[in-house]
Amino acid sequence: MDWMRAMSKKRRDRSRSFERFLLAALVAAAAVASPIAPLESAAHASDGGRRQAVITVKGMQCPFCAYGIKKHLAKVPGVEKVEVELAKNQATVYVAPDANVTDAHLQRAVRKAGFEASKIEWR
Amino acid sequence: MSGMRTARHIVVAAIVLGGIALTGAPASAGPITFLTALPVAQSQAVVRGQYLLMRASDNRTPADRELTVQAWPVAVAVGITPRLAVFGVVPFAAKSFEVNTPAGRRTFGTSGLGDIVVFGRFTAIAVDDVESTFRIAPFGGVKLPTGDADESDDLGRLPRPLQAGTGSWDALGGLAITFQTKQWQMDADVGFRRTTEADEFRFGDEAFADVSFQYRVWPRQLGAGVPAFLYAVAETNLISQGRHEIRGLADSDSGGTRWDVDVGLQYVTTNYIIEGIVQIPALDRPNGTGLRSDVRVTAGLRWNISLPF
Repeated sequence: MDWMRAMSKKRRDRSRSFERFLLAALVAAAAVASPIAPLESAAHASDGGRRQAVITVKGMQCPFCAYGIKKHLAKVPGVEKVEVELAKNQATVYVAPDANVTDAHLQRAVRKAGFEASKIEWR
Repeated sequence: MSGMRTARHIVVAAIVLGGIALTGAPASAGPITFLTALPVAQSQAVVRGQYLLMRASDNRTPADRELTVQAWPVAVAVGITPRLAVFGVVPFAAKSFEVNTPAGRRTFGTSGLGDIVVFGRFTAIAVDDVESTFRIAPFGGVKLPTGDADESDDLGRLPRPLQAGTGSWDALGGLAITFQTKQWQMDADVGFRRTTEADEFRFGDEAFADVSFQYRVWPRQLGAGVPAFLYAVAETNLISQGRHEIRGLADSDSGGTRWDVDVGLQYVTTNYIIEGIVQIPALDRPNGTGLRSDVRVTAGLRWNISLPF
């Protein structure tokens, strides 16, 4: 009977070890999959929690055209910073935490520059 | 004196080039010698300063005529709405004409403000996509008689084509088409300039068509942000001008057809553009004994300006 108890304890220990290994693997996988996530959160905290909107601008094809888009987005009240990625057809606006900036405001700004905002993604 | 008068008649009969044409009209990055259909953002202005050197000469007659035009057109485009832009072109020019006369070689010349051109352009069709944009924009306007058309020297009033201005109110209109990607851009326009008579002289009407192809040669791969572009530019310009009329009679030695092939470079940043182009005559058929165009050179700079309203 003693040997049966000993076998059962060994099985339980093995099972716990496997669970611990699985948990460690999951934590490691999550850390590897999104290594920047904790940094981003920190950046947000240091920015006072300001939000970002990534706008896909249709029709923007050259540097000279990007000027009007940047200027008009910067004029939207509450927008603190604008960055344009020409290769991706994207403009990123950084909005103050307490500002009431909507998709309609951003779409209107892009339209004033002579282009079209096709997608707006808030982060 | 009679020799001088003969020279004056030669000048009047021979000069083909009139006022500064619709060059120097800016908008976005685009063609160097004509208008694009790309938008000017609302509350934004694009200012363009250019230097143009044009020469026309004739070795077919003993008169050995030679016309040199240096011009500094300043053009401003203002975006009134996202689709409507208003353009103004203010040309400053110096014209010099040399000719052999029985009394020796003579030089005539004028300089100063030319005729201001004001016109509007409306984007009628805009098809925007992530990888391209396609625009069709009709334009139309007037050329104002702001340039001095009554300059004279010791022999009297200078020939009309040599004056800084034409003295007449002219209408112009046309259509600009643009297809643009991040790698290349193609523009085309067609247009017409209808002239009117002033002081018993009427310049010939003009019809024009232009095509421009711009290819990004640098950077080969687009990096982060908004990198500057260097475009290699190839353009072609076709212009046909009717005969001038003096007191209602057609001047057989004026007007004609010219077709240029142009090569140039354009450096485009977010705020400014530096550009230069050489226009090489591929075909030049002036009427009668009109002058033939030589190579033309254009260099320019454009600035993007955000307006406070």
